[in-house]
Amino acid sequence: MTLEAATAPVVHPRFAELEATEPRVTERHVAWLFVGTGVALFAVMGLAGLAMRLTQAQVLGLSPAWFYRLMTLHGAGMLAGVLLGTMGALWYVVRQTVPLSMGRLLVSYVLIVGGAVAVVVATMVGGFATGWTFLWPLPFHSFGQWPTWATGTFLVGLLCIGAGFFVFCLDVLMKTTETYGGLLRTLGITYLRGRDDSPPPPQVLAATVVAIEGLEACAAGVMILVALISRMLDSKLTIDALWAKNFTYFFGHSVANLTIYLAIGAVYVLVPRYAGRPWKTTKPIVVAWLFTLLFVMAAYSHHLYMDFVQPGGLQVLSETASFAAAIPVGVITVFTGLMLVWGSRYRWTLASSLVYLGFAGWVIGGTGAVLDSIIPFNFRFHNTLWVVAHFHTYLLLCVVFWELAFVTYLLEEAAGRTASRAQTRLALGGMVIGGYGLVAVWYLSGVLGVPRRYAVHPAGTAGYSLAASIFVMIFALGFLVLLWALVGLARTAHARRYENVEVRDTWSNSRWRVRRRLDEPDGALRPLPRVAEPLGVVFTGPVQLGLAVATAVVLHVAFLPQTVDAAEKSTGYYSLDHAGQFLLGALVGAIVASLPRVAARLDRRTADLGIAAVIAVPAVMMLVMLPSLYGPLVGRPALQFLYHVGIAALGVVLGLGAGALGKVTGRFALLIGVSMAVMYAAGIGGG
Amino acid sequence: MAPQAGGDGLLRWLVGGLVGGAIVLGLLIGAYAVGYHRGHASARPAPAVTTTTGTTVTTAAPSGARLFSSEACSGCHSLDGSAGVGPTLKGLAGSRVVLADGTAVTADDAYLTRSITDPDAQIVKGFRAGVMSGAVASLGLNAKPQDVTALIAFLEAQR
Amino acid sequence: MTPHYGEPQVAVGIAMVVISALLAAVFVVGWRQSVADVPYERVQAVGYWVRKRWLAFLCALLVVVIGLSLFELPYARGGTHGTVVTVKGGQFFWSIDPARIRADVPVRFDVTSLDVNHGFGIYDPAGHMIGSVQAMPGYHNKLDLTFHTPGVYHVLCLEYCGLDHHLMQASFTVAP
Repeated sequence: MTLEAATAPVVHPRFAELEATEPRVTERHVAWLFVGTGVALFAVMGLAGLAMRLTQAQVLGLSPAWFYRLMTLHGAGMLAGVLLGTMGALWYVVRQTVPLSMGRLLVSYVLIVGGAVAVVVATMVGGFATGWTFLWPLPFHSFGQWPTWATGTFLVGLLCIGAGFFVFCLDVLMKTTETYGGLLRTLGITYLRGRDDSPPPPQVLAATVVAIEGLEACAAGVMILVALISRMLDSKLTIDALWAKNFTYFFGHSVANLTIYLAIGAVYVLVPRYAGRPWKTTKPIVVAWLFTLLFVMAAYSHHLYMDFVQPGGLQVLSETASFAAAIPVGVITVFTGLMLVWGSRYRWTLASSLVYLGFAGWVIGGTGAVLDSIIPFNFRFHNTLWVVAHFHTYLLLCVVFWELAFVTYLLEEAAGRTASRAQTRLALGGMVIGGYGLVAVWYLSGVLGVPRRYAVHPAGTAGYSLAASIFVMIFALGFLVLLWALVGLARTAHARRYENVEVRDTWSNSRWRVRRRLDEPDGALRPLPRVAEPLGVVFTGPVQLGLAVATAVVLHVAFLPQTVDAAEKSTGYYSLDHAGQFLLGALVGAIVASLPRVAARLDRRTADLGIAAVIAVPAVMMLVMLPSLYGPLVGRPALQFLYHVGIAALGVVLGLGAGALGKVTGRFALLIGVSMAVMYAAGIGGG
Repeated sequence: MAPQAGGDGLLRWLVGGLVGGAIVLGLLIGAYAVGYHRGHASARPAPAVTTTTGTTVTTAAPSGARLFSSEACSGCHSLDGSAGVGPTLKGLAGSRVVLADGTAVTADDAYLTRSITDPDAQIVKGFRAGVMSGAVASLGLNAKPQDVTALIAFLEAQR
Repeated sequence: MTPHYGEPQVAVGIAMVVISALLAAVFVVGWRQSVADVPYERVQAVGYWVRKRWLAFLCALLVVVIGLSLFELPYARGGTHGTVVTVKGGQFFWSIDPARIRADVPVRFDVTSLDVNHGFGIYDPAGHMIGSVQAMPGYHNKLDLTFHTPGVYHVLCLEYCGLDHHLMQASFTVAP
């Protein structure tokens, strides 16, 4: 087996026979922006990680306060980094067949990067140090370590990151269902039933599933973050600790898990380039994605195994889902990847090697994860370094490898060559030995019972941290060699002849000034994909409209003085009452947006407003329910009524906004917005 | 490309696997149950065991020794001279103590009592304020003077 | 307190090493095989044969593992029990009452928190980690255990709770 020489072509000879669309120059630049920022964040946060390991090894003398700040920054920053990188990669590959919006993607970028900056400020300047999971009520028990503004900055920062991902998911869901014609077709269910001959390509399945999960995860995130922000603004608010834990981990677990599924979307497109065999949608792949959709949602409670008050049914459901989630991966996705590589005369380049290695990281990390997800084992491994080991295996040795693979692929394509054999071997060797060594030490420490998130490890265990630090440095060396190789590729790319040109993106009808290789095809000539089904409206047909109207009529109960009086027993109850008013308004808004005359006026512009509304309105609604805002109104029926009408008006905005997003995405948005209001009421109290 | 023959067959194998697993599980449980009845289950190591036997819960007034754990003193203060988050209590009663501001005092009863009820007023040199006062406040020690007295008596005995 | 390797964890660790080695071996073989030129139909034929059985095996394993795990859940079943040890966690201390318990007697730890989330992690006299349970504000988590080995057991905090999280330790004694 040899690694191909640097001068060999960077794709498999048979790849030209496969139907693959050439990406366009604007898309390349956007992908660059995302993946470049992602890799930069990874490098910076990696340094923070090294500092942490060295502190635990008692080589570096950081104080615990600084250690915990870095720990908080490292977690949030790394996640933002891999999120950006994998979002960019998936967007790039999906956009070959689906007209995703460039403008909305850039809005996502600004939100996520802005959020990351806020997190840096909150931790490094403010001293905020709750760990990136900001578990209630720790942000408010700083023991004098950080001021309230640091808490606020961090929470707002994460809110921005969540909102950024939210925008991305909404756009993806809208556009994929529009292009392929409804949710059932886009998920491949129609194909499964035998009524469709051309299912969407696998990366579209991945994108759709990720978008749906992402919406749910971000909804949970927005809700818990707004709850904490509300508490910051009004200390009379109380939050139930179990409720907070459930939603914090639903948000955190899902987003972290989704980065793997974002990345696999891009890998679906990369493997055929090097294996010369297509990765087509098959029925097993469709079923695998449907199961993944279910299992990822249901698995989050494995973070709450040691909270014995959590309902036992949820615990067992999560245990089953956590194990089961590994099956589609191990049987379909990774297995197919291996089959495609097997006996294919795989074109081994730096990029394709990283792609292959990522699969290994996924299954090995999965083994550690599944073992930990067995409750009797978790009893002994919970919050030990085993947990740290398994998620670093996933994130470092799978997702980051795939992120780096994508960057390398972009550069190999631009340069027309891969890195030299020496560079490839050093880079991969360093990262594999360093990375697997690092996680191996953590697995070992977990078996030993060393707790996680300790600035100072128990006596006699500092040696493990020292060994791990050495492995980190080996990884860093490999990473630096990779960067050196990439710089070389960039130079070669630059040396090829370029021109500055103005390109018109026919899909979004926007103009961009870019630098383009002279021999690069002008993808702008590619015809716009045929839209299978227009967006549609939320309530289609008289039956649905009728039901919606009937429900809205019933909900007027929320305005009745008797209900309002009865609800004043506690913040939780009146929030539930407000949720009812909100739902009424949302239904009215959605009904209006479904009327033919109104629906005809909906276009891309209103969809942008719709996205903004769907994200902002629930957050505003929850904030407005502050006890200090509502409290003074109690006993003044006229003002209370106005307030309630205001809540309903917010609901109308949500409904209209959801209506602008079409049938599938609009329904999801409506459901999520209203659920947020109801579930918020379930968790807060006091006042 | 070969037809996706794997598709239909997979479902049967999935179900077959689940059923097979259920059979194996049943056999394992059965075997364990049979084995359990044949011999005794030897005393199991630490892992969780639930039973329903009951013994009485003590209701006598807590001694100083018991309070030393229930009021969380033992986590930070050793009784054998070893270093910890807080100063060791071995031989403390009646000894000379240097405070953070440099003054030296004798650890008499008044000092000991104050060091529990208002620890931040007398921080020992080399230790941090705020830690013990937080614990005292959380545990409500100031509202339990008889417990404080019992603890002082316990401390006097730590020579 | 220096932790030492405990039995069930070591077994899990060995399982991890063995399974990871097997998986890595598959990838190494795949790497070696990738230079050959095998028609994809052939790869698919063998691959599908293996895949069905691999799927069945994993599904069976799921049922067996999850099923067996249900017998070893640490969640206490209701009712009142023998000795009740009241545990309260706070920043950064543990209140354990009583701190002397008898061996071979069922003990129920009633664990709660006075401020933020903490983790009540128990280590036996030899430093082996036995298990843990979360200490949550406003909730009581109940853990039932029976100790057979007398000695001093140590407690470490297993849920990040702030600046002195790593210093939050305590101990309790099991007397014969």
